[in-house]
Amino acid sequence: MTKIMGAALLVSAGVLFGYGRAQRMWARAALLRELGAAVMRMHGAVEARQSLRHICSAMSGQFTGECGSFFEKLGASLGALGESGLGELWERCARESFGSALTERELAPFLRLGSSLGSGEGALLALGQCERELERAAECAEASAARDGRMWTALGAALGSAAAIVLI
Amino acid sequence: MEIWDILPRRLQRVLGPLEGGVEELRLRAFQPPSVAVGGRERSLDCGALTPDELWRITEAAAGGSLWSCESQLRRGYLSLSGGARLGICGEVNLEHGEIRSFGEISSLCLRFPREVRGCADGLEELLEGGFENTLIISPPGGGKTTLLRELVRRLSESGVRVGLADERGEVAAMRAGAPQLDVGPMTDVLSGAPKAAAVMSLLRCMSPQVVAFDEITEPEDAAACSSCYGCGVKLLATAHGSGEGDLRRRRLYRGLLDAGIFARCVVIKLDAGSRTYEVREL
Repeated sequence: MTKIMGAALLVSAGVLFGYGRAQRMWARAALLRELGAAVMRMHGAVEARQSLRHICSAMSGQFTGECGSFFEKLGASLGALGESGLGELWERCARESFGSALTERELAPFLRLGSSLGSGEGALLALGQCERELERAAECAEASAARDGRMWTALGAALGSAAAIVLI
Repeated sequence: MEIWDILPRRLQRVLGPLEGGVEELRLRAFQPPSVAVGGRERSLDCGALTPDELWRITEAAAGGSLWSCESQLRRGYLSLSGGARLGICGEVNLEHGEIRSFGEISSLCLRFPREVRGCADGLEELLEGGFENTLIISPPGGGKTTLLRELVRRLSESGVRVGLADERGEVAAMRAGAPQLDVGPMTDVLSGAPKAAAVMSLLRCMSPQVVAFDEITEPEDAAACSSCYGCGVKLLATAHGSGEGDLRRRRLYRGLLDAGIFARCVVIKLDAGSRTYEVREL
């Protein structure tokens, strides 16, 4: 009886492990989608010549999770402009908000956007470019999650089952 | 952002003791900062500024939103809270022959507003017996805006309804609907709009008795003066120059002076840090 229960736990653990990996992959893809949506809204706001302080205030209310947190942090750090550049503040807030959720490669377009906004020239072009790159990154992440998510779930179940068999 | 907050901390430390008397702060790439007090410029004991620092200051002045200040940037300045102005110099990007943006910034001029109550105390002849169209003349940095503000305040306090076209926000420094610099209780301020359009709007909508604005620089501004004159509204304006003769040599002002639009001028002279005001009939 104990062995059966142990085996069941091992199988469950394996399934949960694999499922968890798959879910994280889907969550990363969803975050990239949300980030793309945020950049798109920001594009509209910049086109309407709204100030960054106003944009941060509005966006921190419209988005939750890491995106909302980024705009909240950025808005709070604008007082450091003058001592630091916008690109520097943007990168700091981006890494604090997204650093653990996105890879360096996935975060790169968003970091480049901060540098471009700080230069003053071509803000709209930079926002458009970032939107496109995030769209591509989100598509890749979704494809990867669809392909590898099932693999991880199955792998987790298989490993759990193998461990259960060994136990029994 | 407050004026001083846009500066790096190392500059704030050096400027702190001088804060009250500084008229202008000059920042140039690869040079130490300098201040203008009483018309005289002197360097501060502070390391040379880098182009990056000048960019960060400009960025801070725009609140990180250079795109939202495009119309001001095209005219080479940014308006700050409290009526301060940041003049920008450097390498520009042109579009159709006009400034579109700045590629490199080589120098900045941070001009601080000065409210000098009482600077018009010796000019009662302008305010008594009915105000006549008056032109304030001085070279750049001579105190035209300061005197304009004081005359607007004095007129307003005497019961005259003044319409103030404050294009750069330096005269009244409006914030959340209230002037941060005293322009009197009966003054209506239209800020941020080009002078000519603002003057016409004030004439049509606010029925002023006196229209005031800073710096006649464009033909449209001169045309707005003519419109006010034609409507029977009194004018108070400023112009760059060393005196009446200097203005008469320039087409933009010659027409106004020849048409007799201005009855008087006040010429501000700066001598060894002190200002004198000379009132002349035109």
